[in-house]
Amino acid sequence: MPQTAIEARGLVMRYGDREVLHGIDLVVKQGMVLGFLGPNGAGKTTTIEILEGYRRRAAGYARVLGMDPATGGRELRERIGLVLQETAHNPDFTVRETVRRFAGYYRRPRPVDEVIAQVELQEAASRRVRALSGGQRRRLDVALALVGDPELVFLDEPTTGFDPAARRQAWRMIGGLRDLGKTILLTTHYMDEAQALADRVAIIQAGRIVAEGTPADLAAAQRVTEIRFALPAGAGPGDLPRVSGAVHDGGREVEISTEDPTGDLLALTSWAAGRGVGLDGLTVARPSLEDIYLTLTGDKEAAA
Amino acid sequence: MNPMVLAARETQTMLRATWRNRAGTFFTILLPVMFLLLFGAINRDGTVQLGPHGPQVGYTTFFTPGMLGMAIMASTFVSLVISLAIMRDNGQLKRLRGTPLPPWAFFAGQVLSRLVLVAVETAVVLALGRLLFNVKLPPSATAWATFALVALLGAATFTALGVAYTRLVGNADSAPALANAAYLPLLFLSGAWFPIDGLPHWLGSLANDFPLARLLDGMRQALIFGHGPGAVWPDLRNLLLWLAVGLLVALRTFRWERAA
Repeated sequence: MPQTAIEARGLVMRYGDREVLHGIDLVVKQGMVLGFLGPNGAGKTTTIEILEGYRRRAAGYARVLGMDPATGGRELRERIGLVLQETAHNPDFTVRETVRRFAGYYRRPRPVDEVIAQVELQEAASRRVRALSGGQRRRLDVALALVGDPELVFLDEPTTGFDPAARRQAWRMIGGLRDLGKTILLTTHYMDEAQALADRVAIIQAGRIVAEGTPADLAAAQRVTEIRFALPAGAGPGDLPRVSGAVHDGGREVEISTEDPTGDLLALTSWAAGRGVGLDGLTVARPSLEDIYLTLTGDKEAAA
Repeated sequence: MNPMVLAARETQTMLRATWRNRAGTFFTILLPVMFLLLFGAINRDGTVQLGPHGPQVGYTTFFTPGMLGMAIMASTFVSLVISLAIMRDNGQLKRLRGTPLPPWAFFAGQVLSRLVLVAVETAVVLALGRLLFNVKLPPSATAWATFALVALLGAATFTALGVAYTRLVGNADSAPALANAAYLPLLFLSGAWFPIDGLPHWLGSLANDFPLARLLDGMRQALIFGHGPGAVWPDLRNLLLWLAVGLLVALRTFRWERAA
């Protein structure tokens, strides 16, 4: 049984003389949610547009639902659902008309009203696309991705521009898709989104995959713990005791990335006790996916 | 999926889109009707001479087919260039390309919906011309069929040319200007409004190679003189040639996405 929804090996893409993908490997098993992360311009959208059939790879191997995406054509499009990064629909049609129109393009569409309910657009079903809010339009995009009852859904930054409540709502919806057994390739800028939704994460940087695994694997691979606290009044950064980890000086905010949290904490707390001060706001945490992402994509300093 | 059903649905969708956005599209489409009423009222008793040695005919009899040509080009070429550029710019075309809808079904919907519009407009223009200005209608079934053939072929030709022309349009903002850059000079040079006899010979014969002049000529032959298909064969041949050119360029150069 072929249980692999997406398999890409050594994908290379060139625009003219400029090579933008230098050999991407990506495997997405059926029923899995892959979070595909990377900074703008790293090649996320190019990679997924190759897999969606919009672009032809310059070299490499690609199979999507067992088909070559470059030649899969109509048969492939029957079985995939797309939320593109930027898209539009006829502004003069209502939500229901738009979903019904797309439903007509598929062999076995899902019931229109059921799909509208799934993206929680029932109240807006008779409203014209022109009058929808940004979040409602994005949910319409998702409805159109689902109406053909696809096995595999590509979500290219589905929640960009959402307010926090709308994002939580979108997460519930995407979680619901996962529970239905859909395979999902999700690109996002939000690490908490990948953490909440993705079974596995792949990070792309400058056209290469720089890390791949479950969020827990990636955290474990980092082997560092972050210690943070506020510098006590009257103490300067130079007054801190020696620790094994790297000290990031953030003004009054101290951040220490260490592979020996126990030893460093002992040194810090002894130092503070000796001076009779507290370490306000002391936290000890495994690196978040965001920390890992920033480290791997080399944006740590820029973000600090 | 039955191909006929898909094409019919797309046609219906496009007609509904036109109807919903009537403020945006009807001006382009109804402008010829307004022109017919205005110019006809101003010049209802005038006559024009067809060609240097041609017969005298009533101005409104001459002008009505001119407005039909204008209506056909406006509702195919002009409206298509503008709407395709908008749909390409904002990502609608790219999204459609990502569905199983075959491209030919999409274009069938574009073509058929515009043929319906053209048929309605033709009926309106002819009816108004007849009622208000006593314009002559084709005297025989053969002349009617010839007229319909020329008009349909003209509409198909300008639809194909519109799709092809979209390649030259960089973005939606420039689409109306670029569409009019082809439309307005062609209307003038092809004699849609008044006979063009004073043109330099080379310009006159060049204009006569473009499809609008041949569409107008074919319709006038059938409407005014009641000629049959044999008499308009040179016009049909020219339109078929432009149709082939338009289709070839459209198929080879059409882009579903805006330039990066």
